[in-house]
Amino acid sequence: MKMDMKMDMKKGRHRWRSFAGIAIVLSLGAMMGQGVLSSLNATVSNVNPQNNNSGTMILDLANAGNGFGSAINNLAPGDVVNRYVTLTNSGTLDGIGLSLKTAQSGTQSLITDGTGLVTTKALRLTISECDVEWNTSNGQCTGVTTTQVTSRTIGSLTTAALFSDGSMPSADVRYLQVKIELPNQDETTINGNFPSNTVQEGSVNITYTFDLAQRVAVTTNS
Amino acid sequence: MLRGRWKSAISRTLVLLLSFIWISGSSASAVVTGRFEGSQSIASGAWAIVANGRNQPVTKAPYVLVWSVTGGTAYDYLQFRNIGTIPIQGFSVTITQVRLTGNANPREIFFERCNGGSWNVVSHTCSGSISELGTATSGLLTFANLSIGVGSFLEVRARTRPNAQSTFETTLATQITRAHIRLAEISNS
Repeated sequence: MKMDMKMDMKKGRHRWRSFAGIAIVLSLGAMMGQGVLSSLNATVSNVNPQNNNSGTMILDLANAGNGFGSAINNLAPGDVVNRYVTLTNSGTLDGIGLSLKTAQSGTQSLITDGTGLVTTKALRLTISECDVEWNTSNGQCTGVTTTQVTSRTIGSLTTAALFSDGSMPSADVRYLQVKIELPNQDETTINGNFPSNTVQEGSVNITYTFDLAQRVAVTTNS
Repeated sequence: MLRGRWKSAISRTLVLLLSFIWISGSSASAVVTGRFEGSQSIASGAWAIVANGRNQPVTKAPYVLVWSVTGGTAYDYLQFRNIGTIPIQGFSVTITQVRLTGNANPREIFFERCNGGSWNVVSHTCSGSISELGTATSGLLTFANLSIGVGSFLEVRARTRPNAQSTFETTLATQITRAHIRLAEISNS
């Protein structure tokens, strides 16, 4: 009898537990459902759309006088030919790291110096700047002259040479003198025959590339 | 245990390294560059002179003349032609004389030009005035104070002194250096 009563009590507890479990699950479900249905949303937008512009990097080159527009012919050792170009940062971004590099093809003795027993000296290039426009007829600068790229062989400029002052703010203009020099050197021509590795009757085609990088990226708060 | 730690350290380093490379790569490609290219052609000049017989084609070889000196004066007419691209102000000639027959020693050679006229190669006369450019028996003889334009020539008479009966072969080799052309120039344009 007692045994039966105990069994009934156990069964009763199990039923109650099951019922309670179901009730809890249902209650949670109902609460969650009610929670979603009763959430509040608030939205706001700017009235006028924000305007975001990216800047531009544009480097322009113009010949001043002959500039790069006409060939240089018949150079003798020691000759210097000055040509003038004007660089302008026509972009909206300030630039830094102005550099020049060249690509050239043609007579090797005019591109790189001879080595060892070959003592030929190649074409040299120097870039100077005047803070006002150059007089392209006589090479005079009435302002301040600064050497931006020191004298070096044309061949070495396949690696970019940085200007001593490479910063070019937007709208900045640089007045440049490009000095080409065939260093003085001697050669003896015998019976009309040039020595080997001669610098005579050579020709070089040079492509000048000016590069200007954007200013350092900035983070602003306002 | 130790191996596990090492493996872990290596993998962490690798991850850091790869991240660094990726960051560097993306920042470099993000830089905007302004660029402008210009081209130019540059050519060097040449200084060259050759000796050749009067109205003979140009050859880039020594000029050889064979003359018989039979007691009188022998003559030869030749041209020094500027085959370079720059005007010439002077040049040198290396003279080599070889006796072919006889027993006389080589005698001096006189190099002369006919100013303001031309040579008559039959009568050996000059319609203008004769001036001596230089004299030598052998070795290097330099002609200075000349002006031979590009493609032009200087016509010269070579004359020997009277000598005993001998035949000589004389070779003239031209040479010209930087010193024989214009000075260096500076130009702006």
